[in-house]
Amino acid sequence: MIRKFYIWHYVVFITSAIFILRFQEVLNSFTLLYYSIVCFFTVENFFINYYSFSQLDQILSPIILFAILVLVILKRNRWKFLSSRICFSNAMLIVLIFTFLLTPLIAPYNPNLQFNLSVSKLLSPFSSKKIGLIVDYSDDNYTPTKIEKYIHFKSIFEREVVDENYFLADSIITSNDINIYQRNTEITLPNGSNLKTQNALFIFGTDEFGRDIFSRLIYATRLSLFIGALAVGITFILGLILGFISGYFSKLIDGVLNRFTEMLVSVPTIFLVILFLAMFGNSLMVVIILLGSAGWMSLFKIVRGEVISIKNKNFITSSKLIGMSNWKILINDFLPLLLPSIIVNLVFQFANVIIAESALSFLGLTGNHLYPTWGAMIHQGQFYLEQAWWIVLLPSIFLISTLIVIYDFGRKFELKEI
Amino acid sequence: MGYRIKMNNSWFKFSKRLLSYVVTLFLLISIIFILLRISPGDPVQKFISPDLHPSVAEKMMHEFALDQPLFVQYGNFIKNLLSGELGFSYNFRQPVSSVIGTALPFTLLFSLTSLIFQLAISISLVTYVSKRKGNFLDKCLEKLSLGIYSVPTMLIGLMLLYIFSMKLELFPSSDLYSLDYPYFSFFEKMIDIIWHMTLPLITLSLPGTLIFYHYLKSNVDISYRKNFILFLIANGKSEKEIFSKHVLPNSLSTLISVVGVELGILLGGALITETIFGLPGMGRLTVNAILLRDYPLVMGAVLISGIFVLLSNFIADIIKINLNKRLKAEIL
Repeated sequence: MIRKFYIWHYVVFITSAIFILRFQEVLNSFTLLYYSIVCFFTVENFFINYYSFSQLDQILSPIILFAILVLVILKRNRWKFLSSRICFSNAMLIVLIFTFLLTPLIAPYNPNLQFNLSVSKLLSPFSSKKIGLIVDYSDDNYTPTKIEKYIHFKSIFEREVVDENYFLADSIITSNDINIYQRNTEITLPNGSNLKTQNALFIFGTDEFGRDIFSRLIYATRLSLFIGALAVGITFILGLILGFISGYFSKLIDGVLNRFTEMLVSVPTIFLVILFLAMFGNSLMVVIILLGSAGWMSLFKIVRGEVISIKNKNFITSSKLIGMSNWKILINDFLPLLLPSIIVNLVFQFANVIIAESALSFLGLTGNHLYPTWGAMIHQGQFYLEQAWWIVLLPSIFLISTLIVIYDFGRKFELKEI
Repeated sequence: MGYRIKMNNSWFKFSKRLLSYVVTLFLLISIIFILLRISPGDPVQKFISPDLHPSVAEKMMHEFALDQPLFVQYGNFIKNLLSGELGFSYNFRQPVSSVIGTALPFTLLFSLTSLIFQLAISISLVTYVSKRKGNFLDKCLEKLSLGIYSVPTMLIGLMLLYIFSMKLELFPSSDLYSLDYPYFSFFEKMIDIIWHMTLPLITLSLPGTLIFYHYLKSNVDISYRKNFILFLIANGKSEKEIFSKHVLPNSLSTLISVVGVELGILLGGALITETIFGLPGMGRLTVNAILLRDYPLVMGAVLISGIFVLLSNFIADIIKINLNKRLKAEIL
């Protein structure tokens, strides 16, 4: 009997739940790993011709799953975080980390897979349908080569567009003939065809193109967090270096940089970002760089102020006299002292970036990336608000709870509770 | 005599500060001018189909004075700026000042009303709560202020739209006026506008109210812990007097600087609220101008919003100085 519910219990619970619910996918991933290793040694130019990031992702995710499980069980008493009590923000943080790392394992379908529109358009949450998969055994004696098997397993994960052999139906009856019902139409398959049926449960429903919202949400979480993290990294570099230059060197540079920041602060940032988006196009990299470079002003002020207050201390002078370069002085002497206040600022900046990104996507200004973001999902769902509230609701819940987590952790860092 | 010198000194500092604002704005406008001109994208292409003869496009470029060298264009721009017309909008075919004049009254009305609501509600809530410590409302607001602060504006807007406009059908979902607005009497017009503005005002005001509440509440708590309050209580002053005369003025300074920043951003246009509810404000005007490459209008809008931001910060500083004279040396 567990007296208290600690974080490591929760992590173990989630990992085992994922393992049980997605057992087939874990198995398939390992098969894919096996065939890719075999093909690597047998097929010429295998990595160049057949490999892509998504396969690597797919193969790595179950390994990461097991690694997390083992690590958490081994380190449960060592790491303070794992043996602390569970609360909402901790639980949500762990869910976010899991969705970020194990995206292909958690998401049941490809986020861009459009099922047959006649059946799957705007399905409400928890609606259950049948998936039919026509398997073609044309020749029993024919044994596929390794690379064909590899491509077969790859195609299981990467169903992008509807192919004729993989379809969704309201119901499939297999008594004598195989009858497939798709909303008022009835299809009868010829007799000898081999049909596999699966149940498809759309937990969070589907959108107007018949795409599974749960899968889209999982991928959107990854993309949104990725954008936020990279943008914050850019903010960190810009703010730190500019603040250091401004505080550490001559007064002339200080004055120029100060005037420049004041100028940037005097325009609402979102207009500047939109202006630059209109100028440089709205690809993912541009969005990340713009969001990252839109928020360095507050960090700049913090770093500058602290650098000015520290720079005349003895240990800095001695480092200078030893002959350390300015870069080394920044990294070795200033950064450790600045880090606490920088972290607080960056945590709140992360929230700002996520809000700004979702606002921009909501206005439809960030373009179409390969995967959606929360804001893009909300943007897309707002036109169907009256018929299909679930398209907007679920990304909103994720967005809000992520922000709550971030603010909570920011506050804890600020009060030095962690 | 000494008093006069002091006065002169502070006026000098004030004017120096205003001058620095003007320089900042001018630099900002110049940088945005250069950015717009070197950026890819042709403003003429939006109006002329590529099937037409290129000479038509050239003629239009000549009309907009876009074929001239950058320095001449910059000179034209400065001339327009000084004349007060801010140039000629490509898209609306009107002087920029009159285009902005159509959107600005709404934005001023909308944001100032919202700000007044935010301040009134937050200050009265703090007044109510600080008398009853550990109250149910106190605890509720403490939890809620973090929760609602994490809800982005667009989600509040969409939620209100879904509940009150789509399901309950109490409020209209978009636009500022009803269709038969011109035939209404004055009183009905007022009612109509208020009816249309309710949801946008709630959307815009809710997060701000809670932020203001949060700042004010924490400052009031800090003020209550100070020694002079204890002294006043020991002297037997009434609680009401202590709160209104000593605690509140001492804890307003953070709130005022936050309000200054907030007001500047609001006056630049509440982009998302305007987009959700289809309102004709500065935010949408600016974004449309950016997307249509309407260079003069972009410059005008950026100038206006920059003026508002700097001015509201300046006013906030002045109010802060008037509340607490000790801050004078620090701020100026």
